[in-house]
Order: sequence, then C-alpha cells, then structure tokens
Amino acid sequence: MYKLILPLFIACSFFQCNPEPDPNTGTLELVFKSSFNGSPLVLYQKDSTNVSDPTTITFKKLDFFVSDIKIQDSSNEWQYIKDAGYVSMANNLSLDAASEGYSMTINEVPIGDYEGLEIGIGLSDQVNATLPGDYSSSSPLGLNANYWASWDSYILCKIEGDIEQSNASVSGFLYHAGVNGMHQIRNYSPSFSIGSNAKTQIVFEIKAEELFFKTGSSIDLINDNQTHSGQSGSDAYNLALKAIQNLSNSIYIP
Amino acid sequence: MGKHFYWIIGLMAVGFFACEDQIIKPSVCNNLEAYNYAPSSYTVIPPEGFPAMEHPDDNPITVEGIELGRHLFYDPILSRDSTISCSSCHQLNKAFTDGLSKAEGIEGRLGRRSSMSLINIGYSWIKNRPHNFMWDGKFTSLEEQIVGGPIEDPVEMDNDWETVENVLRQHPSYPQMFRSAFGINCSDEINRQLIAKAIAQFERTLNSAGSRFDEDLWVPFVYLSAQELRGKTLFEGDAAGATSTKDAECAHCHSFSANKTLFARNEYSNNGLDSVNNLNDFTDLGLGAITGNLSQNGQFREVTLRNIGLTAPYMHDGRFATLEEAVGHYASGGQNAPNLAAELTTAPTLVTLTASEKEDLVAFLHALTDSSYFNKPEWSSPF
Repeated sequence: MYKLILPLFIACSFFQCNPEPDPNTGTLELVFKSSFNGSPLVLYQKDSTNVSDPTTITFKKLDFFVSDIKIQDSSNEWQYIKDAGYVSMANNLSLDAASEGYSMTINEVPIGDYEGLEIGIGLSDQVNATLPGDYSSSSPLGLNANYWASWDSYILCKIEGDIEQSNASVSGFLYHAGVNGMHQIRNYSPSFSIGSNAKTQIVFEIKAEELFFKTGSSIDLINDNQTHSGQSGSDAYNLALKAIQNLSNSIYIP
Repeated sequence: MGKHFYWIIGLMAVGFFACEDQIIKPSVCNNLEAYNYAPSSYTVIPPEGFPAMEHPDDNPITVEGIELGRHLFYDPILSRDSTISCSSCHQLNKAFTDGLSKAEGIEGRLGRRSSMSLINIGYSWIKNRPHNFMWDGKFTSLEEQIVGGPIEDPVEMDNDWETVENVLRQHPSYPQMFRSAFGINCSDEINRQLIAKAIAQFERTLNSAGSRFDEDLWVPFVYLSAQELRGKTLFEGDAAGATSTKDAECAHCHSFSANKTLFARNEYSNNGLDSVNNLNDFTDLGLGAITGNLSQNGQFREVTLRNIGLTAPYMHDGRFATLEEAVGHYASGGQNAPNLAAELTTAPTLVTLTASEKEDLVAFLHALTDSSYFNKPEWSSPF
C-alpha cells in the first residue's frame, strides 16, 4: 500500500506548484516590429527622411494601446481574446532589439483554425471612460503614466522625437492622441491555427515612415509638430486623429 | 510501518515547503505569547479626489503596525551612533524633506541626492513595476527601500542590519510592539523585513490633500486668489479644455483632475537639467544607472507638486533654492540632451512666459501647500 501512497504524495507535491494547462487552448503571440524605410526602427538613432525637409528624423517614443482583439474562425465566428494591451518600442535601442520587436502574449486562446484577426488601435470611448483606479496596476489600463488626468483620458498613442531641418535647426515633435473618438479598427486576414498548448506567432510590421511621409496623409513635422489632442473638431484634435489614423494604417502583416 | 510513515511525512514537508520561501527560525526565543495579539485592520481612506491606494499584499496595514512604524521612524536607534532617524531627513513640517540640497547622514556625511518628500508616498507604488521609489527608481517597494536603503548606507545611518535586529530584540518595549503588530512569539523573530513592513505601513498613512487648491476644487472661486487662479490657468493650459494662448504645459507631467489630484503621473523623465550631447555624458545617470538602459540616463522621478512650497531646494540635487528658480528653469525650455522630455521640446509658448506669469505660476504652486497636518499627533514623534 505504501508503495502506492508514496508516489502519490510525490506527484501531489509536484503538481500543486504546476496547474495542468487546458488542452483545449493555446497561445497566440503578437509581435510588433517597427521599421523606417525598410530598416528596423532604432530609437534615438537619426534616420534620413528621403524628403527635402526635414532631412532627418529621430524617434524617441512609439507606444500605443491595442484593444478589443478578436479572431475569426473557419465558420466566420468571431472570438474575443483580449481587451487591452500596450505596445511599446521603448526597448528598440539597438538593431538587435529593434529586429526582435515587442511581443504580446495572449493565453487560453481556443484551439482551431482561424482566418481573420481584428485589432483596435487606441481604446474605445467606453473603455476610455474608465480610470486607472478601476484596474490593477498590473494592467496597462491601471498605469497612471498611460492616463492624462487633466482630460480624463488615456493617452492612446505616444509618438515623440526630433527632426533636423535643412537649415540645420533641430526641433521636437510629439503626437499624443488622448480623447474620445480616436479608436481605430484594423482587420487582417491571416490564416493561422492555434494548437493544444502550443504557441502561434503573428508578426506585425509598423512602417514608421508612413506616420508622417505617406503621400496623401503626410504630417507637417515642422509646423504641426505637436498635439496633446483637444476638443473635438479643434486643430489639435484633428492632428491627433490624423496621427493615430496614420499609425493604424502603417501596421501591416507582412 | 514507522519507517514508511516518517518517509511520507518527510516528503509532505518537502512538497509543502517547495513552494514557500525558506524560513530561518531564530535560535533563541524570549517568549512573548503572554502579550495580546489582536491587530486592528486599517484601511487607508483616500483623500477626496485621490484614487484607492494599492500596496503589497504581504503587508496588510494594521493600527498596531502603523504605531510601531511611527516609533521606528522617529527613533535614532536605527543609526550606528544613534544620532539620526528616518525623521532627520524626512521632517514633518517640511513635507517630510530636510531643506538640504543633499541629505546629511551620521557625522554630517553628505549624501548623493536630496531627500524626497514622503507626502502621499504610498501612491508611488505600482504593482509589478520594478522601479517605483527614489529619484532613480532603485526600489520596487517601500519595504525594499527600507531594507536596502538608509540603514547600511555609509552616508546615511551607517549601521548593519544584524546590529539593528539585535538591539531591537533586546529593547525593553519594541518586542511587545512587534508582537502586537505581527504576532511574533519570540523577540528573536524581529527581523529587517518586519522592521521595514512597520515603517512602510506608517509611511502609507502620510497622505495630504488639504490645500487651498483642494478647497477651491470643491468650492470654486472662494479659496484661490486672482493671481493663483491665473497661475492655475497657465499650469493647465490646453488641458483646461480649450485652446489657450499661453500654456506652461506643467499638467502633462504633473497632471491632475477632480478625481485624480496627485499632481504626478508616476514617471521618470529628463527635465533638461544638464546639457549633454551624448547620453553617456550625464554626471548622474539616474534611472539609467539602475536599468542599464541608455535612453534612461539622466532621467529622474517626476515628483508630486503637492506641498512643493515646503520642499525646497528642488530637483534631485537640490540645485534650485526656490520655486522661482525652478519655474525659471522650465520657462527656459530646459537644457538640451538627446532624451530631453518631448513635453519640453514641443512646448510652443513655454519660453514666452513673462516675469509676471512666472510669478502667477509660483503663487499657484504655493496654493498646493497643506499645513493642516503639522500638528497631527499620529504623524508626529512619539518620543
């Protein structure tokens, strides 16, 4: 009898620290890699813009909320898999780190074959009406730094840096979208499968040059160099909206 | 049977402790069980306009823990020569700073940076974030700061923990207080972790929101003067809700609203104190020295502006003697550095502030002073 009890206790002792994973789910890893004109985007590194003015650009910050992530299964049913996450390029301080990108892991995704992915850039007005105090600080929604109390809004995206003009003068830029009405929804059609207790990776590429220099949606980094958003309809609001729209449109699945 | 039975018991114990931190039992026990242990749970009630305070799960706050912490905070017994206590650098009527540009330890030894205010310090803790406390974010929690900070620092208390623990274990009254706060059975269970927990509990009660700004928030246009209101308008700028002609842009880093009046966003930044061309050239690397992240060199904690009128001199090195100097620094746009905060590099009207507008800003900052707690017995020295 003891021969039976002994291994049982050993097994119990071991497994009390390791809960059994659910065989009906797997993990989806979303990797966000940013680039500028085809090369990994390294923060604090001066890049040539390939336009006459400004001549160079130095990114210092490229952070944003993603939200309401859904995946579409083979019978066209959408499954909601994550409410909110925060993508930050803060570690892009070397070529290696920038090449690696920012990884977001979503656990307990139902196993199966999928054909679509929907992702929000920024936050819905409904979520934006909540407060950091409504969440644990382990959530990106719980961090004071992601919230601007003055306008009772999360800072949905932060795009910051410096430019150098043709006359050699250096100035800063800052685009913070942080009011309602900014939520952008992107739909993609990747085919992927989630296997039992397996990890599936989807890579996104953020083409940072399209934030400012894409024909038809360019932003004047010299004269419209900053916005903290503002009242709906104001110039500051429209500039912030354009910045987050450009950000959303610059994100591709290669 | 006996042999197998003990095997099973042994394995059960191994299994149990495999998931627990190692527990080192004291070697001697001066029994304290005759003293009552019935701690009263204490909930930090946030001042109006403050969010709920979070704190580490393993240090629930009790009335007895706070009282023990207050005694330890004011007791010079913690320093090697019993000349200084926590309160030496964190004085009640200076918003728990010391009025010095560099903190002063035993024998007048000069510290590396200025003492930080402890007002509303509990709100600096963000769960799961490694860098929450000190100018450079060196410590995750208040408890960690107390264990790893002043006691053994040669320019602060220059003591060693073993000595502190032994002194407190043999003290005529502390063992009983530790029993009341933490339920220890033996005086030898007093250790640095419990000492830190008690002081941290006391510090989490140091919350202040009784300034004229606060009174004005709930009953507008009564408590603030015209000059202070002008300063408030400049401080908020566009953040007040409409495009402003002059914006001092203060509220980006020192943000506040009716339901979140901390005047801090709990972040680190380079606010333009030193001009450097290369991120390696800062004389004090600040957060970057802790994280090893080059872009964080020269970044320091953005502090709350509550009671800022009481905490001169200003900045991590106390370089500005007055609020006028500090405001003047920001109005200059700050010194250039590759990681100068974008809030400063893109502030279009900041550098156009007039002398009188700067005075208005300073007046508003003084309106954030709460002196109502100066005589608060529960925050004062028990000795």
